[in-house]
Amino acid sequence: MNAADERARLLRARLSEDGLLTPEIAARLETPWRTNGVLVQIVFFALTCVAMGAFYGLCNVLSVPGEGIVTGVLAIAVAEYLIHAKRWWATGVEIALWVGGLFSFISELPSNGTPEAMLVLGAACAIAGRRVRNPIAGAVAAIFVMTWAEKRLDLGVLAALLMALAAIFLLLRTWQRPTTEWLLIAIAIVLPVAGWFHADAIWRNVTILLYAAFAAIAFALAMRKRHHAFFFAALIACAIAAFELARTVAGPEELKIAVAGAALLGLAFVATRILKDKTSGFVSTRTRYHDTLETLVTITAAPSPAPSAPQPASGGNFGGAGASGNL
Amino acid sequence: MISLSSELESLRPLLGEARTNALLAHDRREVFSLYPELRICAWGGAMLLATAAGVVLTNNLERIGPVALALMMGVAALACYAFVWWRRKRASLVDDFVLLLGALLVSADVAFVESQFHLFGDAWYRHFLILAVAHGVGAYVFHSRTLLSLAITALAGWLGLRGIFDSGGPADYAMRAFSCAALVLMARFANRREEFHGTYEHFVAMLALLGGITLTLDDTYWSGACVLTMLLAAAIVGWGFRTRREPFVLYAFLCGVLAFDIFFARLFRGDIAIFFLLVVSTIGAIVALFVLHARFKEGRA
Repeated sequence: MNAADERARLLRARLSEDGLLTPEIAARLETPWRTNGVLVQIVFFALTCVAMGAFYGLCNVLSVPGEGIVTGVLAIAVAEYLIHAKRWWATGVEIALWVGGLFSFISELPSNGTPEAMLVLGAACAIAGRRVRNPIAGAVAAIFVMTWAEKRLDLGVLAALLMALAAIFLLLRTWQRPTTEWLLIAIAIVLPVAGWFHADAIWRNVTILLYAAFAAIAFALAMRKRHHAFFFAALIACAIAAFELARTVAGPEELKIAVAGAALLGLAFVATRILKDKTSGFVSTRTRYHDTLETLVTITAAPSPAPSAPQPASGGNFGGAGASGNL
Repeated sequence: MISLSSELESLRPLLGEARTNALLAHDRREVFSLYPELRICAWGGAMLLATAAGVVLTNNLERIGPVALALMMGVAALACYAFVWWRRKRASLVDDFVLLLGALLVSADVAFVESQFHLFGDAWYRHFLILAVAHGVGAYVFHSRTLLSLAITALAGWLGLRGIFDSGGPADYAMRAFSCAALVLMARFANRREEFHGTYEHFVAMLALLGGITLTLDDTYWSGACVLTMLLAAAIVGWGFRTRREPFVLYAFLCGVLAFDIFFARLFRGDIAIFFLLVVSTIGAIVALFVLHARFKEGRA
């Protein structure tokens, strides 16, 4: 799938969500690929993994020599057939076949338990992710690299935060492909959490400092550039830093949890109140294209052609001006 | 960052001036909603406070005493409900989670009272019925699907759907699941709030499928249970198509495939047969689901 097709698919999905996808627009944004939504992709991924695991097991009980090679070759061949002949893309099947196929190959390699095995697994995920442009596979590849850094150099947290930081700065660029953006978002959000599992108690103060610094950078960029990934990365890093900080503070456990909970709930309450009547810039209401559209149409009262597709019931029962209710 | 400005500009004749300008404003982040971030903060806050309440009940029993602790939890829960009621005309996204916190505190408090004072004796599980009624009333008063879900979950707990087979094996557990599904189905028909229909229907489908799958584990009824589960799954898939809700189709289909596999795995013995069956049935399931999904999308278009 090329960049134009990816962008058309994204725009089509957004317009469809907001009930603005008329037959004419749908025809303009048509791509030759058969794709699935996220939930359906997960189901197909799981089913394909089961089928591949069963095939591997069947080869094993039939004592087929090199069952990993057989499974791998077959899986990748089927994946390529589906992509080229059937135009399947982002269905959940191809990524399972590619990752499963490469992992099957790896199962045939001799293992001596060195940390470099993580790099081999990471390379498999990266190759599969690159081929089918799957952001999750790319993020898993980054996790394997981070695990290698932890096992080989004892620098898991640092590696995770550096990769997440790199992803955040790369997100500042304008990307043509939505999948590239999603890969960077996945790395920026998942890596800080994955790195935290390798945080050593003796380095607790350094961990707190690193996560706090990461959170500050992500938050500053979030305020300036207005991107959800920056906000979520900042939120996650801040939560981890606060959790580690709480471990260094003496006091009843329930008090610390209650303070954290009250702080979060209070923050949400105060922010909602501050942003209550805002209709531009930062707003606290659920805005999608449709809500923004209502805002501008209401304000400008500009004449516009009615969409030929009916507005979905999910467009809100009341409100407008960025504040549709009962969505 | 992704910008779809060029595509939106090219669609201007089809979208119209006002709509295109609105879409471009969104694309340029001139309007940026913090709704997802605030929602997660509020949810996280409510969950942490509920956890803190649980830890308070566990760690302070001897120091504070059960009566004072139960009263304290009750007052806190009441304060949450009162806060949401007081702000009902100007509710924000935070109120949903304050309400959830109140409901969780009620659940914790009722369970604590029962564990400390044994009001129901051996029939301790009856406290789930109190919770089901309380959360059910709360759901209708506050128009909350979250509370309705809690109420149905408590009802399931009262009917014995707690641990796995803690009462009398798979057949007994399955009967309880079917009974619960039937009760929820009746509630669905009695319900006059349209926004609750979906919640009831999902619970009915999931409880019925849970009963069917559990019954397949029974050594006496497994064959009939597999057929029953496949029939139930087919009915739920049909319902999903009729009401244009794909999650029904997805999970019912998966349960149907699972029942199919269990049926043949029990019929044939041996690793080769089972692995072969799994390969064939799963590939068949992928193809069938693809066809179903394509039809679903055609219907939606």
